[in-house]
Amino acid sequence: MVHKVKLLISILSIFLKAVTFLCLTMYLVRNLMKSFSDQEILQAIRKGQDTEVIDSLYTTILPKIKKHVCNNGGSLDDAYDVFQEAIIVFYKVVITDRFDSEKYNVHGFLHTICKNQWINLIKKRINSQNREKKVEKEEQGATALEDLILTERKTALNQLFNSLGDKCTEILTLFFHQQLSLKEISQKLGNMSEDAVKVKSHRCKKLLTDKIRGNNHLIQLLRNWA
Amino acid sequence: MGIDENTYELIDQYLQGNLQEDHAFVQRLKEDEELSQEVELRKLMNVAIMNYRLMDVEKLLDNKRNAFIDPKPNKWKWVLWALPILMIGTVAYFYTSSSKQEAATQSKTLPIQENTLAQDKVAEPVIKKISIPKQKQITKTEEPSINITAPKPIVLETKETAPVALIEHKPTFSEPERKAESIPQKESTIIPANPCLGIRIKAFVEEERPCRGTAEGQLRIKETKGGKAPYQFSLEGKRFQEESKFAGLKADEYNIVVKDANNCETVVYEKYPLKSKNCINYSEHIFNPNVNTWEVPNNQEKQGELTILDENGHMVYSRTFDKLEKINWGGLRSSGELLVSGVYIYNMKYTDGVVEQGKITITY
Repeated sequence: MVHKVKLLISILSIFLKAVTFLCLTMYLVRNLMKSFSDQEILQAIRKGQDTEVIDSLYTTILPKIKKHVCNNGGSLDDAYDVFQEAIIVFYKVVITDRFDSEKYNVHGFLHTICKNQWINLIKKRINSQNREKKVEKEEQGATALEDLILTERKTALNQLFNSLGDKCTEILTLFFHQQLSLKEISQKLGNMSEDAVKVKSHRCKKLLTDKIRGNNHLIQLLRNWA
Repeated sequence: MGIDENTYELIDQYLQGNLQEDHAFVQRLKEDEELSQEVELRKLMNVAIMNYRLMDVEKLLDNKRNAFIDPKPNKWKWVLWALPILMIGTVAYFYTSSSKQEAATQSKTLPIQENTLAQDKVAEPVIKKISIPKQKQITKTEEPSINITAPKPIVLETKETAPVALIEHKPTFSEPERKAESIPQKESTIIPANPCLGIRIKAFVEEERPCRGTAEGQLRIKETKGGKAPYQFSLEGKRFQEESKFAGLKADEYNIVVKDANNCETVVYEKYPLKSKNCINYSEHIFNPNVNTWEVPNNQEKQGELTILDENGHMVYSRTFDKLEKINWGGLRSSGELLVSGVYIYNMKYTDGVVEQGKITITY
């Protein structure tokens, strides 16, 4: 009997150790290996490694945002909306070199944007509930307009880049999104020499500028978008 | 104007804020109107490129969100569930087996006198002392040898690590003997290994949302992994096709199924929500308010509301309309003022929720 109990205890302890090990490994895989440091996130955004960045932010930031939004009367959908908008704002700030990494840390910055977005969303909802019918119509009109303008901008931009051709879009992407050097781009494009890449990128930029120049409607859209 | 490559580089540097105020280029920029226009265009080009990238990020976020809302089964979750169940099962097994053995031991340590109560039924209590090898079950196979010292209580010989030596008690022989022998032999059948066991196909889905009320949506399955190529694709598991694109879809929820070369099927997305989008009709409506009016293309069978907005997002005109009502718009604001030339957007929202949108250009 005694040795049976001992055996049982040892089996139990092995199970507990296994469970602890498994949980620890999963925690490490999910939180440590996937999460980047601030500098790594900024670098990855500048290099165009969007999938990795988004994966990392999904694991580290999103759970906190979900908790915050759900604890303050929001739904999971609201949390995702707020998080997505915050990521886009953050990307814009980083791409345009306006993110001061000495002043802010990425997680704190994103968390603050999310909180502000959530407050704005609540305010918007409260306002639309309290307003009179006439004003409500204007509100609906404004929302429809936002959708409309956004869709129009996206369509116009897609048309613009489709008209450039795949090669030009690729070169401009490598130059601007990934900020690669001429050497790196020539390696990525296979047979092209550095000089050829330089000439091609110059032509592509000129082509893009000319296409914008010849389209007043697009100029107007881009000005309002800037 | 022919701008050379060096000037473009200077423009880029200027836009990045790398040129000082006293730089010759900055001075030239103040005087040269054409150059400043070129700089403005370059700035817009950068805006276009940046926003084109942000559109990609948005797509990525949408896909990620869909995947999170409808997550694929996580095998680790099963392991975590299975472990405690396994643990409880083991504990229960050991508990029941130890209590059985305890009961058996108790019966074996009873004094012989108690056993003699049944001596008229039993010819003779047969006590067998068997020493057994470690971890082996005892089965009665040999003729028992009598080794009794009644009426003293029987003391069991035990070793700490080996299973307890049993003293076999043979009261009536009514117990079923050698149960193992009575178990009929079953024919062993060889079950072929299932090639789909453990195979999980993963894929990435890209969508093209249909315009509201249309069936123009597309789903493209990309980066298929797992299983064995070539793959076949299906919606709802019907009619598999080699092409990974499904076109002509309306806004709905779709089960996306992928089958590999071994016919192993996996539902890569369960109820993938293909949502609709508001579409802008880019067919231009151009008119001159001094010459004619714009005949609004409203559906005569429905009633709704027409809203016209300028490019800066301000509502300039709004009215409701009934069934069979023909509307003509003369390029006037709701307040009656004539609008300036430019591009305007109209939004027609019917009472059934359908929205039609388009673009009107006013020229004079």
